[in-house]
Amino acid sequence: MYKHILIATDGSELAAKAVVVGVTLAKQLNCKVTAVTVSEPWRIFVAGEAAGGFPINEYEKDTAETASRVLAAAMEQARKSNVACATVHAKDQYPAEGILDTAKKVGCDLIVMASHGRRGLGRLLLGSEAVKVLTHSTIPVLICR
Amino acid sequence: MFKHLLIATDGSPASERALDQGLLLAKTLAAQATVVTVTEPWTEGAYATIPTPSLIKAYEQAAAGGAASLLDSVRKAAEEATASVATPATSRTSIPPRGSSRPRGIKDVI
Repeated sequence: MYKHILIATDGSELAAKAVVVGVTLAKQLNCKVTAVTVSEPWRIFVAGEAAGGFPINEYEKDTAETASRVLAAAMEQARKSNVACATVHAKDQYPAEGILDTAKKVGCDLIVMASHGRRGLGRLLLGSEAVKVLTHSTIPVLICR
Repeated sequence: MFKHLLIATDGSPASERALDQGLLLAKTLAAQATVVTVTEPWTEGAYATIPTPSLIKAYEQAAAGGAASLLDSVRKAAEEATASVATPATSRTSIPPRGSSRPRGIKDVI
């Protein structure tokens, strides 16, 4: 039924569960997956380094390293299950936006993601990015808890 | 992985899509599916009358009848969905317990 599953991950423990669910489902449905991780745009004031030169390059290097580590973990999971897996690093986007954009671009028909991200406020029933994806997605979304 | 799917429906076009997808997924995964439809508790306001026992009874009968005919059509859809596969999903339909005295909270929404 589903032909191409998008698995969103930020490398958190809960996202790792979503990766397992997405890959297992892909295995059973005999379909392929794309793992996506999103890094947010650089924000001067949050970084608190407005006076410290121009650390954008460092920030980009840092996010690229994190993204490739997170994506490598997802790929490894897919490899173990013998599921075809592509990876996407969506840069300079907010997570929900990056996930939805990627789903559209690569033509996925199911999104699998965790209910909370790395910064997840566990006391909320659903994290804010999961809510945004659910609200705006035109394809089915599987939220893992 | 998934052994038993719960498919919620109220008979609306959107929930029909969910039913189709749920049945297809259950079929593909050779999983069991349970279809649920929920009838709401009696609300006085909606009828603007004093709830006499006979009115409540009429409401409950109407609700049970609606749920039964909805689940009948679901059962047919499930039979059609499973007829074409070797490892059929089993489907089970029943009228769910009425929650007329159940407090409603945010968990009902999420």
